[in-house]
Amino acid sequence: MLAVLTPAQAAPVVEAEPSRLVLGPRARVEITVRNAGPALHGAVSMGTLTPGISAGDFVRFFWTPPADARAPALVLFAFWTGEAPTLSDITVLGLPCAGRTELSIETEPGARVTVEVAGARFGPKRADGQGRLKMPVEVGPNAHEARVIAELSDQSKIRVLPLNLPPSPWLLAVTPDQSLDGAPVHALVVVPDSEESPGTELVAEGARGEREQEAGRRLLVRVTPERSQSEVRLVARTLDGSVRAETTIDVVRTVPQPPEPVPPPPPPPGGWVLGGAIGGYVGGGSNAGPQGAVVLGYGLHELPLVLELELGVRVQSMSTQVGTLGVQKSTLVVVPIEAAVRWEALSAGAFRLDVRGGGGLLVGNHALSSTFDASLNEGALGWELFAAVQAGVQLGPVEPYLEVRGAISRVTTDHLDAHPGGGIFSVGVRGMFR
Amino acid sequence: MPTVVSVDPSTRKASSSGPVTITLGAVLPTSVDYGSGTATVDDRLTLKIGAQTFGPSRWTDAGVVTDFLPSILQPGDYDVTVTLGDGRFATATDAFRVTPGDWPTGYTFDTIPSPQSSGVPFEVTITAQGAPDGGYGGTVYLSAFTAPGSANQSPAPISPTVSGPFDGGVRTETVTVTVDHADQYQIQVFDLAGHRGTSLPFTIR
Repeated sequence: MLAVLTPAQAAPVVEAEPSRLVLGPRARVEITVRNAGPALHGAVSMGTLTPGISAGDFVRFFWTPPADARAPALVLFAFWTGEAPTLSDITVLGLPCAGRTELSIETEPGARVTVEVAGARFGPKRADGQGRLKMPVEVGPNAHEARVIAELSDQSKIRVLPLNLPPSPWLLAVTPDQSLDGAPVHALVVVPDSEESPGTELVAEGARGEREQEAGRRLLVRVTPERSQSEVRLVARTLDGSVRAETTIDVVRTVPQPPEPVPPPPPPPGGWVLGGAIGGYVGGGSNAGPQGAVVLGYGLHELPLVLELELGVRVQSMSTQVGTLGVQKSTLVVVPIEAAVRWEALSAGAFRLDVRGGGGLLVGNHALSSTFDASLNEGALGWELFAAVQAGVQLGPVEPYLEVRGAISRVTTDHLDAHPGGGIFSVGVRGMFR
Repeated sequence: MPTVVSVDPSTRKASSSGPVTITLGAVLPTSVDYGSGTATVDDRLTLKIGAQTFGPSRWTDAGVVTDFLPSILQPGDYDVTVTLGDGRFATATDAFRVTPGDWPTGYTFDTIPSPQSSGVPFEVTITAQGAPDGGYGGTVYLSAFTAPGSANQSPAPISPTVSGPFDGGVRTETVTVTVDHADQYQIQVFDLAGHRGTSLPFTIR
């Protein structure tokens, strides 16, 4: 009889009868669980665990190995109460299962042969005239080698045969055994002591896994299925990728799954650019003065182009003697409202070289005053076409730049003929924002 | 549009003469060319009191036009009209009033030395007779013609045709008479009310 007590008060007490066995068609183990609550759960790493009779203070299970199981294995059992146990609430029982096999041995003719496997002796048996014999042995899950001892007359010869046993399966259990409407479940992984490969990994396909608790060779993982999943496949494996256990969690829907929320529209490709520049212009004669502008741009995602809207201001004035009448003064203020396309032609490190082209309206006011007649204020309207080259340096989020612009522009009224453009020079800075 | 800001004085007797000041407001036709750095101003001006042209033909003195107005307007109310070089104009209706005048009864000439030369200015002194207190201060029209008895009766061009203002009833006017033949001539003056005076004949050659 094998009994396991866990330190946690709520953990069940588990006994197995017999406490070890040899795999075969009639192999059967009786498991008795005591100190269990009403919601007792049991899991096993291989074979079938069938509930048996229950009395007031115990619950009985029967375990049978798979019908084709012949290889030795350490079979793991786990029992717990409730749907959200901690590792201390879980009782784990290991049941060593030996496999029966026949070793083919070649030795001296007529030799008396004995085989030792993990402390158990098999034989003696005498070899035939060709020195051959077959020795039935039982191999436990922790055996690594068989020692073959051949005795002839007064001589004794010992040979070691390595035993390449398949690894014992791991225990992988989930509680509750299905996910209700995508609620998280707990996955328990128990690695047998016979495991030689390092590391433990639990892969959840279609779910998010979070390690809740780990102690020795036990691991408790919280598994949350993704919204759209109807089942989640769990795979327990070593770090070198060898699968030791796998299971599937069904995701049960009790209410219709709400439609997938419509993803918010993707942010606009590219980005917005805001900048400002000041400088001056020279258009010939008295067409000269200071100027400034603010520029709002939108950078295209697919192309190295920025569409821009420019709002500026330019001021020019002149005074001239008119015959003997006196001095005539004129002041022109125009607000360029222009659209442009900027091509980010070259980018080398932080250095930028852009080419711009555009045009628009020049809206303004013309003021006339003199020493000999009345003053006049009139609206003025004109146009401009321009091409420009910009050189800038990207400094973090901002880009200072210089611009040289060639512009053809004209503003006329009944009293005015002006060209507030020509060569325009600016120093500016801009930055992107979303 | 131009405006007539004020007329000073706005009322005067028909028999008086003297300066009148008309103040104008206007933006003259102006064109500014920034390319050449020049401004072109059309300063042409036509100012009238009634049908009578007044002042210079060019804008001057910031639109303050002062000129001498002879006593050549009959009593009544007159529009003052200003017209700029681009055709814009403005009229101040009944802006100038002429009241009935106090006229002399006639005019006499001091003897004009003879002979005088054609086209050469010479002075004549005219005295208003029977003027009210203070003497006549208006102006008279002038004309010249051959003296009666001449074989070749004809008028002779004289300049000016309107005299300057009388001062205390006396006016010494420098006149120029241009004749096409030497002869005996007389100068005659008359005012707006029809009072006259004629000089003695003198020779112009």
